[in-house]
Amino acid sequence: MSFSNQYKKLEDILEWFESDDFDLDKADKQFEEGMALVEELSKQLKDSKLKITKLESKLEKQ
Amino acid sequence: MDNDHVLQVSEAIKLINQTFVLTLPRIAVEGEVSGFRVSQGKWVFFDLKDEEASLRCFTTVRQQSIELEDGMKVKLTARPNLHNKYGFSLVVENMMASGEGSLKKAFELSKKKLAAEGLFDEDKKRQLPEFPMHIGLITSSEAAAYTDITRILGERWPLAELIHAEARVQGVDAPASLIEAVEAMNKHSETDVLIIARGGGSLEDLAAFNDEQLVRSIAASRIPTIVGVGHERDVTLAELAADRRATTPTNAAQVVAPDREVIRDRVMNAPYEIIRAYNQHIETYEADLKYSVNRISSVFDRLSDRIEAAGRRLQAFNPAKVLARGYTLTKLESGQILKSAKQVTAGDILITKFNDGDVKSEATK
Repeated sequence: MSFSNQYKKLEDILEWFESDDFDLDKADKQFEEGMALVEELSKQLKDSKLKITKLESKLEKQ
Repeated sequence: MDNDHVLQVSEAIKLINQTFVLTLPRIAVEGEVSGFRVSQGKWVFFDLKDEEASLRCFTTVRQQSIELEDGMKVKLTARPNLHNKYGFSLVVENMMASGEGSLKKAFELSKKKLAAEGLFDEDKKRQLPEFPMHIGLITSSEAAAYTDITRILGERWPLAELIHAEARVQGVDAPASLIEAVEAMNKHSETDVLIIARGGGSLEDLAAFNDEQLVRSIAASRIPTIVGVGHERDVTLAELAADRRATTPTNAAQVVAPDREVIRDRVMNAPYEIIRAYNQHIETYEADLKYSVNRISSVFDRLSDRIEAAGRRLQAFNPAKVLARGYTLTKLESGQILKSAKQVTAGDILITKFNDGDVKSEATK
């Protein structure tokens, strides 16, 4: 799943928790899926940020 | 009277006109304009007079090279002619104002008329070529302007070929001579810029350069034209119609001819200029790149903040936190979460989830 699709899914989960559709039966699963998305998205961002930082550093040295 | 020598009137007129052609084909006359009128928008009539006499003059609007008013003093060249019906008149070929007052008056009248026709419009003016290779020069070879211009062109830009067209630059015949030269130059396809020049002089000396026909031919010139007449303070209509006005003939040559020394320096410095410009471009690209990377980095920072905030919002719904506050979650053995007592019947095995573990029990009611 692409970053944007994952991010959209996370937003949907948050909306679900805050809406009237909240269902206790699904809460555990939704929460776990949401937290997994947070972890995955954070990792992707961290990797990308690292690449950018390296590029910035390279440009500074030129 | 010998009948053999008696002529009919028309024959006599023809003979008189032939005599004029043979003995007085052209005459130059100076006098004051009187009774000036234009008929049918084409024919121009006026009398030229002094204190004792008057001469009838005729020309066409097309040939009228200066604006006329009664009282103006003019100098003209004309052909004497005896007309079958209208008698004697001078058929004017060239004319120019004479005397300071008339010259100024004619200048102002012509300037106003030609300006209204758009002949001096700035937006019609063309750029002179930067490196002309064929320079046309219209002036009198006897004039100091000719010597100055040829010397300067030779010193500054000897690469160019100079094409000189001889022209009279003073007197009543000068406009026709200058026009002929302009037209000849325009037929010379290789000429890429045209200088028309003459040195300083009195208002009357420069009057040829206010001739309307000359102004029109300069305005219509296919070749970009620069006109330098007289000193800086002198302004003629020919200069106003040219693509560029030079303050003096010398200035005209300086404007037209690039200085070869300057050009040589530019050529010698070109590699350094190229390197400098190249480096400048690279620096610009580098700066742009750094800016782009910074922007991308900011986007990632903002996204990280949003993900972090989303995580915090999600944590608020963490079921484990609810259990930690003393609440429990009860399910049937099948895993179905119990939200109501009505879902339970006696004998059902219930699993109660605490923060620190599960307890199994049996429903008794």
